[in-house]
Amino acid sequence: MMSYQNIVKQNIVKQNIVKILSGLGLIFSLTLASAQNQDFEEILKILDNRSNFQTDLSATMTLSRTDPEAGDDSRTVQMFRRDDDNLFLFLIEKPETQLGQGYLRVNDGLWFYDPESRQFTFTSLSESFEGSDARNRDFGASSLAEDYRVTSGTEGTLGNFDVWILELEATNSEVTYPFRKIWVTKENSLLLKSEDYSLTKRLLRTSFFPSYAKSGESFIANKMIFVDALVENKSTTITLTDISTATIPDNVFTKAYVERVNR
Amino acid sequence: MRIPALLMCLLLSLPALAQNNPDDTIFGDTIVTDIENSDANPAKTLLESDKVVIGGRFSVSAQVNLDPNATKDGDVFSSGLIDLSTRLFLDARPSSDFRAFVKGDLSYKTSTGVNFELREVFADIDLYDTVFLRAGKQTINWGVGFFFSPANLINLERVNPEDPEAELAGPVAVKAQLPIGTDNLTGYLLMSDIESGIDIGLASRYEFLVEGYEVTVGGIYQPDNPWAVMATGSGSIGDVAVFAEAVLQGNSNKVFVIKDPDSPSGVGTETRKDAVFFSGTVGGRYNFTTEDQLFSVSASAQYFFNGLGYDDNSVFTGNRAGIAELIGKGELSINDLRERGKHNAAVSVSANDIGGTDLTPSLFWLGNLSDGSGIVNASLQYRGIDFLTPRLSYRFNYGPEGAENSVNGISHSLSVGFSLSGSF
Repeated sequence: MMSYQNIVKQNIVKQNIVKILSGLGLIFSLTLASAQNQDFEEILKILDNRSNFQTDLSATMTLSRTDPEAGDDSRTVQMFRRDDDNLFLFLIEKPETQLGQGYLRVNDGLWFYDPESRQFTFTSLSESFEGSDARNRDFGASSLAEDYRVTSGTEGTLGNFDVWILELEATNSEVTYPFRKIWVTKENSLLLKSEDYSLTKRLLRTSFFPSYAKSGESFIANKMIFVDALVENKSTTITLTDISTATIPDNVFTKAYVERVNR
Repeated sequence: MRIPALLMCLLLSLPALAQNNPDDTIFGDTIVTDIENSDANPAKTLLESDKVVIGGRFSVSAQVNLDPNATKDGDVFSSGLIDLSTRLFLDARPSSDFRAFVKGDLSYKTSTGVNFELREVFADIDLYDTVFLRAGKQTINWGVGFFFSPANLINLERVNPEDPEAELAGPVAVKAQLPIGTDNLTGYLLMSDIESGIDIGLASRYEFLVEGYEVTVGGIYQPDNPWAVMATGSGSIGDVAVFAEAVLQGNSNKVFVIKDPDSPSGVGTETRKDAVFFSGTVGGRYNFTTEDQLFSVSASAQYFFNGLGYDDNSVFTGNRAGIAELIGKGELSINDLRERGKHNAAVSVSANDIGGTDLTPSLFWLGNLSDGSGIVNASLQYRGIDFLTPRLSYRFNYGPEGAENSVNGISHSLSVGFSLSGSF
C-alpha cells in the first residue's frame, strides 16, 4: 500500500510530466505551425536569386583535394561568370600539366578544351569537375527552385545560425542529385549545407558553404567544402580569391578567347 | 522524480549536443564579407605578358621487346630508345590585341642526330573585339571522331587510332572566327607557297547547337585539290557521349592500287578525280565509376565507313612485291596505303587507377573489317611515380599477309618499357 504522501508526490510528478510534455508539445506545435506557414518554394527562389549575380563575376579559384587513395593535390583556376546569360569560363592555371585546359559554358552548351590536341569536346554539366567532388553544375547559376520541389521543411540550427532544413526532390532528370537535404539561413536565405543523395537515397556527398562574399544583393560562396560520403576522408575544398564584379568583355565567353589565351 | 529528471537532463543536454555537432565547427560567427573590387581586368591580364614565355614538355622513353615471330633478319629480342624529344614553345604577348606563337619538336636519334620539326607558328589579332584572326601554320581541328575523323579535312596529319589525342600538324592558313552567341562562323584561307596558278583554298565552317547537340557544317574548296562538304554532330544519349561525322569528297588526289594484268608486277595505279566519295563515322564514349569510386572504367567505340577505302583488298594481300615496287617508283605513297579498308572499327577500354593501386590496365582493338586484319593491344601502366611511367604491353596483329594491319602476317610481341616526361 502506498502512503498518502507518496500518492501526492506521484501526482505532482505526473502533473510535472504533463506540464513538461505540454510545453514541449506547444514548442513543437509552434515550430510546426511556423514551418507550415513558411513558403519553402519561395525560400528556394530567394536563395537562387541571391546566389545568381546580376553583374559579371571573376575570381581565382583554388581547389584542394584530399584523397587517401590518389593523394592530395591542388589546382588553380581562373573563373569568369555571367549568370544572367548562363555563361561561365574556367581556365586551369595550375598544375602545369593541365595549363590551359578550360571549361566554357554558353547557355546549354558546355565544352572542354584540351590545349594538347587543340580540340573542344562537347560535354555535360553533370560531370565531375577535374575529378574532384565538385560538379560542373556547382559553378553555374543556382536553379534549385526550377530543378527541385520541397518535400518537407523544418526549423533547426547550424553553428550559430537559425536555419530552415529542407528536403528536396528533383523535378527533372538533368540534375546530378535526385534528392537533396539543404540547410538555409533564416536571416538571409544562404545555403550553408547540403546533403546530396542518389536515386536510392544513398548519401553521396555533403557540401558546406561556410563563407560568402557579398556584392549588392548577391552572394557567392567563397569557401566550399565537398565531403565524399563514400570514400572516407576524401574531400575537396574550394576557395575563391581576387573576386571582382567588374564587367567582363563579351568575347571572353567564346571559343576564340579560350584558343587565344592558350599556348 | 526519475522521469522529469531524465527529461530535464535531456533538455539541458540538447544545446550541448548541438554544440558537439562537428558540422557546427565549420561555421564562424559571421559568414558574409563584402567584395572589394579592384580595377584589374583578369580577362585582359591573361592575354598580356611583359616577358616572352618559353616552355614545353620533355620526354624520353625506352623499351625491351620480345618478338617470337621475328623474321629471319629480325631479332627475337630488341631493346633501345623509343623517343628522346622536347616540345618547345615560345609565346609573346606584348599587348592584349597581338600575340605571336612558335612551337616545335626537337628530337634526337642516336643514328641520325638532332632533328627539329616546326609544329605551329602563328600570330593572333582581333578586329574590333569581334572577329578573331589567326595567321600562320596552325592546327585546325574540324572533326569530332575519336579514332577516325574523316571530317578532319584541313589538318595535314590524320588521326592515329593508336594515339587519338595527339596534336595534328596543320596547314598555313588565315583563320577568321566570328562568335555569334553559342554559334561560331569561321572562314579560312588555306595557302601554299606562291608558285604559279592559284595556291589559295577556301574553307568555312558553322557550329551551332540543336536540342543539346552541337552540329557543325562546313566545306572546303581548293582549285587543284579535293573539295569536300561535311557535317558533324556531338552530344550525349543518357550517360553515353556520342558523335558522328559525314563527308562528301570530290576531285580526290588519292592514288588507288588496281590489278593490272599488263603490268609485270600485276598491279598499277589510278586516280578517280571525277568520282564523289561518301565517308561517315559514328561512335560513343562511356565512363562508369562505382559509387565508392574505387573502380572507374572508360570505354570508347567507333565504326568508320571509308568511301575512299577498298571493298576488295586482295590487290594488296596477293601483290606485296608489286606494291613495294610502286612505292619504290614513287607512284604510290605511304599515305595512300593508310585507312584502306572500306569498313573499319576500333574499341578501347581502360580502368584508370584500378582499386586505388595506381595501375591502369587498358585494352585496344583496331580492325579493318574489309581485309580481316586487326591489332589487339593490352597494356598495364603504373602511375604511382611522379614523371615516370613503367609499362608492360602485349600486341597481337592478325590477318592475312599484306593486309593493312598484318603486313607480315600474324604476329605477337611483348614489351616492357618506361617513359619519363614532364612539363616546364
